[in-house]
Amino acid sequence: MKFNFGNIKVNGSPLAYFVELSIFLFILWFMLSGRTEAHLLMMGAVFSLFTAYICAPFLIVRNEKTGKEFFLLNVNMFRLFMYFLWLFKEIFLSGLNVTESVLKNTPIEPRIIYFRMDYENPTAAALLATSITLTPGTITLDIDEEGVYEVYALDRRCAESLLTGHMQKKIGKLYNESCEYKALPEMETDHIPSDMEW
Amino acid sequence: MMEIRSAACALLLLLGLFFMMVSVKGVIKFPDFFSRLHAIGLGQSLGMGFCCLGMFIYQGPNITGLKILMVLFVSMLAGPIGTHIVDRVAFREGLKKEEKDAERREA
Repeated sequence: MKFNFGNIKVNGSPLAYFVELSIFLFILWFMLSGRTEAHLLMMGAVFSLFTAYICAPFLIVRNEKTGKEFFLLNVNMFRLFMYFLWLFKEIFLSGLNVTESVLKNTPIEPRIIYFRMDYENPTAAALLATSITLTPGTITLDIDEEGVYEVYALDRRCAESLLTGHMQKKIGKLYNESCEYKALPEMETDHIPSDMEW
Repeated sequence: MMEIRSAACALLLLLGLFFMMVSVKGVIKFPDFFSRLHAIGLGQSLGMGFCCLGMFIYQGPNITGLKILMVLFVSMLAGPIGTHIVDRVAFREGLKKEEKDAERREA
């Protein structure tokens, strides 16, 4: 059986992605229905294959700069799970941090920090931005085309724990990216001038 | 066994409610718009997380428990997107400084 996404070319095998998405959808279907009769399981399998056939082309994300295309679920699921466990730990620790600064009566010092992490895979950039926003105390404001992240941090400790670059490097390893992490100096301006030196 | 599970569930729910209360206090206390978003994020991630974990422990590892974990997962995926849209619009419109000054003047 030959399977492709029309004219779109992705790196890796489209059939493998299709199978991966169908398995994922079948697990989701089973979690939602919870039925184990044979004919219902078969129905679920057929419909997850059908849905995957329709939806697989929509899950291709394109890097606008280099034109490379990636499949959304093309990631080691076990390592993604381990990353989420680590992320929960980080969320808890920085949540305690924010709780302390809410309950203490000292004034907060919000600041905007910048760092550069130019992933080739847009999924990695989205995962990093979501992780930063999910962590209490830091919010992603913007990512520009050069891969510069604009992050609003509640106080100095939140900013410092993000600027160590652990999260960025972990996501880079997860998606086999080779780009390097670089912290940029804080700025007072509201936007980055285009002729800035890195 | 059920008593232990209920106790653990109650503890986790209380912890989640505590974080939600802290988040409400933060929304009232913090001076400007973006800091308030941080406070909301605290209730969204930690408060919701602990509540869902407590309900998962009460329910045990069956289909309903899995569904509760899925609710947590989906809310964690969808929440940051809403926060991001709101704060990006506010930041681009240049809300930051004016809002802060206005709040200071009122206080």
